[in-house]
Amino acid sequence: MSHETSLTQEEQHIEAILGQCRPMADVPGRDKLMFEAGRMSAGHVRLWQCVSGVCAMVLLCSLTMRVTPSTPEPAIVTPQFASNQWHMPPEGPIRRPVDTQAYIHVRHRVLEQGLDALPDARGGRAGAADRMQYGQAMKRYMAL
Amino acid sequence: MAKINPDKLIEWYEACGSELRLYALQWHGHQQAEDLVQDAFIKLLKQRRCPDHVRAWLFRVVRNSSISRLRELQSRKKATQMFPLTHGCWFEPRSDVQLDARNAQAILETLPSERREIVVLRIWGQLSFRDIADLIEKSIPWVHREYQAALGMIKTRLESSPCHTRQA
Repeated sequence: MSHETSLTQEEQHIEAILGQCRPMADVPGRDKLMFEAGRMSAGHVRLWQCVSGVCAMVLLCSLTMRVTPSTPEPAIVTPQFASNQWHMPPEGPIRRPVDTQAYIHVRHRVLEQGLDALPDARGGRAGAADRMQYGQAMKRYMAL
Repeated sequence: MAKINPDKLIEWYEACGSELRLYALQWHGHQQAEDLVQDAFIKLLKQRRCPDHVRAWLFRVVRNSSISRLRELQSRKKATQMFPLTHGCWFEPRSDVQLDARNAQAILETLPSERREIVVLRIWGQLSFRDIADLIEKSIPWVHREYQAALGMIKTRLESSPCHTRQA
């Protein structure tokens, strides 16, 4: 026999008596539940809402950054401390600026043809004094 | 099954909200009982899928929540036993019923807690013995036996004090 139908008549009568009593209904509870249910169904924050919110914030920030005038900051002067190292010029003979190509050309000619090949500034052949002068200049150059 | 919509939820609340509250009153006062019932419905709304047997599911949630809350309170207050059964009325006072609301409550309060729970689940919760057995984690014959014993005790109380019943 099923348990659902195995009660005696007397027991069923007691069931019926008790069943007549209705539990207390709570109307504010129903309203509260309706409110909660509505809030829950409407209050879901979806992904696209979050993303669009973040994008809007970024846009707003970028616009604000652009509009704000940039004030030049005062220059910070830091004292220059003297260096302990001396910058020494490289050792060696002091070179002077010389027209190297022309000089080499003259030199070759002098070596091949002798002192007579020296050019004369006055248009003709150089004199003995001039040759001496050029010769000394040549020696000085060679000494360098 | 599909997800639960709020309208359906209200429908269920109207169908078994007061019974669930009566069930929670076994352990808690009115306010707490109402909160537990509300929580149960909110949990139902949060479910991805509707439970197969919503009524039994709701009773189970209320029971679990009630026991959890009771344990919290007991550990907080260091009380050994705490059944606030005297908080307000359980039933609507009506003149057209055989058993007075206050007397019905008084009789139920005298029952052992397990038997009272079974009676509430069976008569007002309208659950089958199988559902009750699942809910309280006992066998069906045991539940049936306890239910019969509870009805016997109620009968004795009614007979010992005939003023409890009105003549219909």
